[in-house]
Amino acid sequence: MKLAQRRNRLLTILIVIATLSWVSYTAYSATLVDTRFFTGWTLLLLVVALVLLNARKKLSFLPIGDTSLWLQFHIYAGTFTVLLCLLHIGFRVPSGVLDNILALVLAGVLLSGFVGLLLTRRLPSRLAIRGNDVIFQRIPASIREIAREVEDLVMQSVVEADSKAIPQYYAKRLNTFFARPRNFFFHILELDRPRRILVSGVSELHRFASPREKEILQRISEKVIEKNGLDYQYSLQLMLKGWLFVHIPLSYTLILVAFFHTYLAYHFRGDLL
Amino acid sequence: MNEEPRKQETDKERYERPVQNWICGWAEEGRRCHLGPSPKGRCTVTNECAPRKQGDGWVCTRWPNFGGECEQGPLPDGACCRPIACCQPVRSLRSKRTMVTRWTILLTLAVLLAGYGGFWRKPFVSAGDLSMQHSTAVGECSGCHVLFANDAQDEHPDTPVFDDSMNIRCVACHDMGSNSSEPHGLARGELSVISQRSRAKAGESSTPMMLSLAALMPGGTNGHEGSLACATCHKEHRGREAEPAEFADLKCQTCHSNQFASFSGDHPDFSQYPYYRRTRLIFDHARHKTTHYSATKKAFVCSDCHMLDRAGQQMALQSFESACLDCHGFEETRAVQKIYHHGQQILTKEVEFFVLPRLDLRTLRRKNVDIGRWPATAKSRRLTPFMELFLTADPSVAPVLDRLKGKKLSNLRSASDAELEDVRRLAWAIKELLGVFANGDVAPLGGRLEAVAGASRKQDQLLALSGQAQPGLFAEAIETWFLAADDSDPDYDISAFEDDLRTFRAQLCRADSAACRASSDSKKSTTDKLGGRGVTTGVWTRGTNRASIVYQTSGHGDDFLKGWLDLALQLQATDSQAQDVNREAIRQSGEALLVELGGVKAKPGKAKGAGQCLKCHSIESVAGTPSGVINWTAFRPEIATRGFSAFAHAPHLQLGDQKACAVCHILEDAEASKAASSKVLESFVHIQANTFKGNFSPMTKDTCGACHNPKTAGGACVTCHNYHIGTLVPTMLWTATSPEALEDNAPDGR
Repeated sequence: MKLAQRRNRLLTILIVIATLSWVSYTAYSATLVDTRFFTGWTLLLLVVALVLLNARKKLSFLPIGDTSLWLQFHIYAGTFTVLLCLLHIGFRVPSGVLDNILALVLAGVLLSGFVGLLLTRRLPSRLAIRGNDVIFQRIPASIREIAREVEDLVMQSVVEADSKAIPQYYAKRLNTFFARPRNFFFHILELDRPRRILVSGVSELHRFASPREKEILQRISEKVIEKNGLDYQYSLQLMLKGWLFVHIPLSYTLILVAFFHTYLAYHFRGDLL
Repeated sequence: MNEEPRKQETDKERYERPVQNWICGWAEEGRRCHLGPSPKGRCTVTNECAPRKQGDGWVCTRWPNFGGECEQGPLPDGACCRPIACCQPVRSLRSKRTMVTRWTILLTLAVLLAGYGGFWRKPFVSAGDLSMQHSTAVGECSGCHVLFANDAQDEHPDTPVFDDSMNIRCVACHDMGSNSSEPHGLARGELSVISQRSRAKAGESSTPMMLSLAALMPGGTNGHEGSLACATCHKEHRGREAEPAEFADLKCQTCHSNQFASFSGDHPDFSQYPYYRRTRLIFDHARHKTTHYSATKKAFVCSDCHMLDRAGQQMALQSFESACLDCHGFEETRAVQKIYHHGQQILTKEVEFFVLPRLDLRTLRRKNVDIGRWPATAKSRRLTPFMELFLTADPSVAPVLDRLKGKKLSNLRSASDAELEDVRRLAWAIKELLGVFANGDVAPLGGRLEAVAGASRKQDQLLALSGQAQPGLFAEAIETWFLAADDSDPDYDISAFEDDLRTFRAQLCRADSAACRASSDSKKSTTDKLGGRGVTTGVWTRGTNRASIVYQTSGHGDDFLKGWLDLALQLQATDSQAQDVNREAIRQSGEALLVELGGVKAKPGKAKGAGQCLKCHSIESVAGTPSGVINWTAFRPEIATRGFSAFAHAPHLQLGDQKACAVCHILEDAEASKAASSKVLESFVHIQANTFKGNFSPMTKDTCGACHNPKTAGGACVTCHNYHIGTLVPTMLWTATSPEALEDNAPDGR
């Protein structure tokens, strides 16, 4: 099934379920039963089910469905929790310290989840456009290798061309550039300005360079561009991995606070049992 | 320019193992080792290979990915010739994420434990601010939550697990009656009766879809028998501006048999609202408007008689003096009080309390029947109803009265000896009664009231019934009628009984000289405040031309008349409060008093009676009182119980005075109806208040619906209906600082 078809089908199912849930909730609200317990338990069990995706990934040997299927469930069920949460709190801002903490944590989880979903849908295509597959863990090694090559070129310029400008420019601008991945936010925002500045700086040196220097400068430019490409890869892949640093810890926090909230809700419910 | 990153090796043997927690520290240099750190993050690799013995020599086993066999080969002792410096292993990204997660969990647990276990526990677990009403009245969490009350009680043996007894805390301040946890505060079974009646009256209506769905849900219909916690409807901790009593319409209907979508839609129409009973005071609005007011050319204005109560909810009747006195006024004279009707004096307002009947003294003397002194001024042909009642209360006299009923005491020539003996006993009984009344410093009217009215009467009730008659009045009457010397009567003999009376009279004068004087000297009624309640009574006089003691009423609201009319109404019921009495005689005395005092019409169109009280004050049946009660007051909003309907007049009267009243209270066409008017008055012949013909047409739903629709004033259930009904005590406005203070100040029984 094509991606669009699958998405449309799942969205339709989500809308239907959401509509039915809304109608059921409205009807249930007309009774004298406190619907918050019903929506609360549904929400809690749903959150637990969502958190189990992480466990599913680790227990891949278990025949409990494809991970991609779990991921789809995670995405759409996570979207559904927005409605469920709003129904649970009655579309009003929570009051109370603990309730506010719970609401903020849930908001953080949902927001990070939606951000992550957006990133996982947009960034891979951007990465693919830029060229070869690059393994994230090997990028620092590749950058280090490029840095060594550039150092060799600079040494060559001093030895063979008696150049002073190239080493100066390297010491001033290129050394820090090649030291480690750079320009994170520029790459996220798809802004090429740092690269252009560096390349134009190198191009400026061409004016006063000898033929050998020009040769070396040309190769240095290529290294700048290559390194810039690695930086781009690094930035985007870091984003793809980094959003989980927010989403996963907050999810566990959410579970803990939610259980505590459940305990308090029963402890102080005030109903006749 | 080529922006493509350089191609990295994708050899499967150099798989990066992303789930590993530690990465070789040389990886960033591009010189990572072939094994990687241990699971605990230690660098374990010291050489590039682990040489293998092969024959006498050693073979390099360096992995092809890392260069394959080296040129030098292993050392002769089997050690690798290419040592690797130890690295500082680095956590993988995944491992870092795991660490962040663990620390986050620990931090969360720490915050929860610190919050719940620390001294800031209450604000930490609080679900939010209380409403403004409760935040001022309830100081601590323990004011509502039983569980918090146990915080300081380490040895409390029965700590509840849940806060399910919170109802106790609610009703400690909010007195909702004895059935506070039942729907509407009604006893079980009572609601079923109301529901059946409601179902029978209501027309067809369509159940909203949501309610139909709700009925399918678990717990969808509470039914009439289930108890309800206060928290079912009243939600707190929603902030200071929230209204705890806010409630959705559909929730109201979830229990109801008759369900509908909205008020302006298919809410059942009104049947008799608001006229479910006749008025307590007999008043014909139509006749007053078209006949009496038009005759005096006075405008018939509602607010002349009706005023808003303090709460702005109900309309109360103004006082008699404000509303009625202009026409139904009294003129006080020394001896007579009159009522005017059409400008003509029609009645006197004095009551003969005690009279001496005319006796055939000649016959009695001739037959040697000794009755002692009997004054010539004794002219009455009958005893007063009061005397008959008091004498009947005496078991020894009741048969005498019964035998003498209908006999003409002024002509005893043909009376038998037995009848003469009865007359003798009656005469002495009358004297004895007077003597008892003269002994009134012991108790009002000498304590005889208890025998008639019952021992359970309160002091102020006895005082009203006595009319605050001074004992000296009766003592003076005794002296005048029986003790004055009459030299012309040779048989006159002051008996020992009369000696005692004279002695008593003398003693009375020494104790209180005021008691010696007739109370007729004073025109003003006396008021004796007993228990904080004033008793308004009139003036006592002695008849000048006849041996009688007369009570002159104090005007409208005279407590003597009221007390005796109430008593008379009870006495005419079959069971009397007096014991060992002639019940039929008692009943007849009660009837006679009603006629004498209340103006009950003996015949149609013929009004009698000193007070004419019952001309305006209706009698109606009340549960538990077979005889009924007299309505001395009109409807009193301040003591009314809350019903299911809630209507506040104040907001509606903004529309303007007379017009506003007439919008809802439509006076039936009085022009057409003397006949209709008479039917209104006929409604008061019987004592069933719910069977009547009123002056006003019942309201219709359309009248209210003109404004109470979604676009204007709204039609929420709680706008017009109360959930809590009955007699509710207003909430106490004080702050409870501890559970003990709450319990100390709670209403009795809680």
